[in-house]
Amino acid sequence: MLDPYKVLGVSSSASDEEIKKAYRKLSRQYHPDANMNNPNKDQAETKFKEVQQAYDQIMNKSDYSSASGGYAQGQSGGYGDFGSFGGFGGFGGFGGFGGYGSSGSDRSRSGGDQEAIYMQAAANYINSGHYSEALNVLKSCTSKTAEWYYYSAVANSGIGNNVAAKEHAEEALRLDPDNVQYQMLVNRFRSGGTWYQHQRTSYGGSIIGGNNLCLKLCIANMVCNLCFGGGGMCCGAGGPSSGGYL
Amino acid sequence: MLDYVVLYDSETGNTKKLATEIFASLPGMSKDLISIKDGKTIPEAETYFIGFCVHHGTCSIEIGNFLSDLSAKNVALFGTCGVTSCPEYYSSIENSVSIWLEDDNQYLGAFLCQGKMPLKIRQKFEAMMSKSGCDEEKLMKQLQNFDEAMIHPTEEDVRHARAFAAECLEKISLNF
Repeated sequence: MLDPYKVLGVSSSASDEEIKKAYRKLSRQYHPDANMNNPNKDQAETKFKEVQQAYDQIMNKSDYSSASGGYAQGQSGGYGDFGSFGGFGGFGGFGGFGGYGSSGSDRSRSGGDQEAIYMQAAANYINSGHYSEALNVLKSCTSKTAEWYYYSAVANSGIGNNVAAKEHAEEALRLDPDNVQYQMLVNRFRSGGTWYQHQRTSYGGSIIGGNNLCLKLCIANMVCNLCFGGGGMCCGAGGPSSGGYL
Repeated sequence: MLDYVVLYDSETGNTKKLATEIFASLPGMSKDLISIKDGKTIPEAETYFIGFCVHHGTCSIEIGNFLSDLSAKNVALFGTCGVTSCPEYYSSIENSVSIWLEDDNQYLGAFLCQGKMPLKIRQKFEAMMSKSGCDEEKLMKQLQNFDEAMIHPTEEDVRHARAFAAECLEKISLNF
């Protein structure tokens, strides 16, 4: 390991002020922003990282970090603190796709459950309207559960693959016939535009939560696609030719 | 002189989102919200909330230069980064940015949260995965982190940013 004081070019008895000055000087010199046109920018970046690490080492040694505001630590203390993911609902009610955000993260922390990671990723992509990416991730799953078909139905609809979307929604329901959410989804597909016309007045109402709204928009998108055979209407989805079937 | 200036450096909109929320939460009308990329003259203020996006574990050199020019001000930092919410990493970012401030400023603390990254980064990881000899485990973690970041800053992050701003104002009031 490099001697952090040597990296910064100061003695081990240097004062805080001297260390700061040395850090600032070297940071300015090697900062990637200052070396964009430098033919040796890779070396500069390596040096920059060394300087960062050296400063960090010295600061941690002198317990400097405790002097700061500390809010960042308080707010970011691991995934347990991100209880907010639970707020994204899940599969219990009319919730969004974030159900994996909470439990998925915990599972993925253990590093074992690859499928959970893929499902979480798919949920995130669907939530942000990246349906093709959601389908790409879903392709990586080896087991096709009811949830998988449910996600696939939404993502396929998002890119205009309405036949696959309907089939997958029905498959999700076949695998888990008691799931109210799947039942609703299939019913919405079967009822075509009627449901959307009936429901859309509610979109102007209060937004309960980002994901609820997103889910409604996703489903509205699906039904519109079914009726009009067009591309997505709400989440920037592509047209029918923009993606493949799973 | 203004009471507050919220100055930010944002590339993908994550830090801008926090900046806008923090700006909205500040009381009164003596305040301004400015992107450092606009190239405008930054007005003098008693308190600065300075937002940055994290690259290479720190802020841009523009933000660093601005911070180092401040004297006798109240200064709070906030930022977003794609990397997952690891307290040690966030602490390291805070250290590497707050160091630019001279000691005669009153440093109010920092707020950091995760922010979504451009899709091309995921595509880069995917391409690396297909190469032989790659560190698959590491790349999988990076992909997982990317996917987790997709929904950030969340509403919860925004609430935390507002709470952070309120805490900063309280700190200022306690010193007068």
